[in-house]
Order: sequence, then structure tokens, then C-alpha cells
Amino acid sequence: MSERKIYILIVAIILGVFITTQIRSFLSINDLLVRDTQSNPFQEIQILRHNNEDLTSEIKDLETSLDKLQDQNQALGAIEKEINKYKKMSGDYGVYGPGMSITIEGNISTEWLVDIVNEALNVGAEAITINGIRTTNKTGGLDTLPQGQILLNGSILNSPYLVEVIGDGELIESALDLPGGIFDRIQNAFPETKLVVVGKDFIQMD
Amino acid sequence: MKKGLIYSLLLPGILIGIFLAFHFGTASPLGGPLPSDEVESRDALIKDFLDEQGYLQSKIVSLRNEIESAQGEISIQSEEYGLSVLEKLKEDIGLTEKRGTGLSILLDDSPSVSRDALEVSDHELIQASDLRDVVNLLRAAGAEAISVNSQRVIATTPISSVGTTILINNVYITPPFNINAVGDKDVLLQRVLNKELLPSLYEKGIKNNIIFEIALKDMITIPVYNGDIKANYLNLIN
Repeated sequence: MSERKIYILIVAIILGVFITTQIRSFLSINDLLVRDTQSNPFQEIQILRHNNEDLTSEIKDLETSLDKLQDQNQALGAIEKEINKYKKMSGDYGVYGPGMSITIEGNISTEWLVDIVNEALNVGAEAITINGIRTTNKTGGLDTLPQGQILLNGSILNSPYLVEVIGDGELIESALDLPGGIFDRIQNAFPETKLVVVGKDFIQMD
Repeated sequence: MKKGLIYSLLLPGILIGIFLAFHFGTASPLGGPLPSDEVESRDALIKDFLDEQGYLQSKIVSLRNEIESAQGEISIQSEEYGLSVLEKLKEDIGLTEKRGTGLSILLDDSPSVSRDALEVSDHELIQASDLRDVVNLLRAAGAEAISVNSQRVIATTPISSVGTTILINNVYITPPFNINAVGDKDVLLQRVLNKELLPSLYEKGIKNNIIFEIALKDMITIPVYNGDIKANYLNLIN
């Protein structure tokens, strides 16, 4: 084979490698834009272990409540405790606690806002408001109007969107801010959008 | 040099380049993050956790029933314990079963793929984001109660994924996914049929043959929430 033919072959092989590399990088950019987290073999076990610990803790609480209910003197206290716990969850009563806030300046679509709320719940958020409206069973989901505006509980939400979360603020912030996490994915999907996260010792939700 | 000769060198060269790049860029199954025996151990561990999870959830439901019975007995003795308030709160947060008219949605992966396959396209699978979108839409349409594969969805329910595994309330669920909702079935149906509100799902249905079926129901039952309720950081404003 002549020298010239060998050069052509080498150039062609390099071209083939470039084409493949280009396709691979294109696919990895697409991966960054997907809304679901990528696989981590140990994460499943961690989630299951934590969940079982939480369920065991709930069982202990329920057993304590049951014991108290069977004692006439403690029954009232047990019921009051249960009522107070459910009042905190219902959204009909004002609550406060530590947590964090996320300010989103710029465009974002409904599904990404749903994803932020979901990611916060995934790491133990106990109460969430978006622009002051608490997300509960009654307030319903985030709706999209024909012009692309986001609606929650009958109110149109405008930028900047303020998501306030009561829970372990540091844990929630670190989970949302992981490389390849929800903040990274939002920044990739909406490069012009600015996210500001602030940890807070006190958040009040009326 | 003749054009034909150049092409006869270029084409095989490019193919060799593509082959080489794929060969060195693809991890073999056994060269993955875990050796096969560790994968088996991990699967066995997950199964143990899931068995434990099932037991713990049934125990929670059983304890809540016992508590309700005990409260019922107290209620007979005195009406001052605020049990009607408690019942209302339990209904609000999803701790009571809900029945009524509504709709049922069946979502399933494309019949041509398996979640266990080494290489599987996300576009052919139902993903957590698809379930989130449907659940959010049903909520926005006024659904009073929703469940996915018998997992009650409440305000604090996360719907997430780890790889191809989907977790609701941190509980494993596998396809097919049955989403049930109690509410005004005509309103719910109208919203779910709006392709602009579920663009990703409708696109997957057309391009990737995922299964997406909707059925109206005159009577549907949404089970009680059987997970834990966290309020460790919440304080009531007096």
C-alpha cells in the first residue's frame, strides 16, 4: 500500500473516532436535560434502608399512641398530640420551622417547578410554599395556562418564583445542588434562569 | 488518485474508527461498577428490604385501625375529645379510604423493551417524570384522591427514580402503572386528553409505542396512605 493510501486510511479512522465522540457528547448533553436522576447502584439500598427506618419509627409512635389511648388518664393527651400532628400537615393551620428558600428568576416551565417540589420532598421536606401558596392535598397541582403561565390554587404565579421549604435545610440544599442534580438540570434547560438558594432558621407559612 | 479508490479507503477507515471508539468507550457488563456476585448480593439485600417494607406498612395500617377503634370507644364515653376534628384532618391528609367516581389510567413501557436490559432507551419506558406529570395534572384538575399502584399519593409524596426503578412514597413500584383518581370524571378526562398538557407522554405514545390507556369509572377506591408522617421540623402557630 502506498504512503498516500495509508494517510487516507488514518485520516478516515480519526474521522470515525471524531464522529462517534461527537454523537456520544450529544447524547450526554441530552442526559443533562432529562428530568429524572441517573442510576446509582447504592442509592436504591440507601433509600430503602432510610424508608424502613422511618416506617419503624412511625410504628413506635403509633404503638405509644395506642398504649396511651388504652389508659383513660393519657387518652386525651394522645388524641391532642395526633390532632396537632395532622394539623401541621393539613395546610389549614399556620406553621413555622427551619428550612431553606429557592428563588427562581426567569423562565421555568410547570414540570420543572413540579420537579423542584418533588426533589425537596424526596429528601424530607415537610411543608412547601410556592409564592406564598402552600402545596397541600387541597391546593391541587400546578397548572399550565394556554399562554404558558403557571397556576396554583387559582392564582397565577409570576417570576421570581419563591419556593420555601420547611425541613432539614442543609440536607435539602445539598441534595438539590448535587452535580447533575435538579439545579444543574434546570440551569442546563434554562441557561438564562437564575437560582438563588438561602438557608433559613425560621420560615413561617400562614 | 481515482475517486473510487479514495472512497474504498475512506469508508472502511471511518467504520474502523467508529468501531474503535465504541469498543474503547463501552464498559462491558462485568467491567461495570459491580462484579456479578456483588450484583446478586445487592439484589438479595434489596429483596430483604422490600419484604421488611411490606411488613412494616401492613403493621402501620393495622396499628392505625387499632387506634381508630380505641378512639371510637373513647368517643362513646365522651364527645369532648375532638374526634370529629381528628376525622376531618385524617380525611384531608389521606389517612382515610376514598371512594367515588373518577378515572383510571394505565401506563406501561413499550412492549418491545425490558427494564432489565443492559441498554434501554428512556423514551421507551414510563419514567418517574411521566407519573409526576400525570399526578400533577390530575391534582390540578381537582382530583380528590389519587393512587399509583395502590400507593396513596398525598401532598408530601415524592415520585422519584433510581435508574429504571420508580419509587413512590419511597416504595418500589413496577410497571404496569395504574393511576386511579377520584373526582369529577368528565373534568379529569378532558384534562388528560389535552395533548398540550402531557406532551412528553403523548409523544412517547406515538413514537415509542408506550401504553397509555384511560378508563372512566363510576366507582373507584383509593386506599389509605400507609407510610410514615413526618412533622419533625414543623411547629404550629398558636
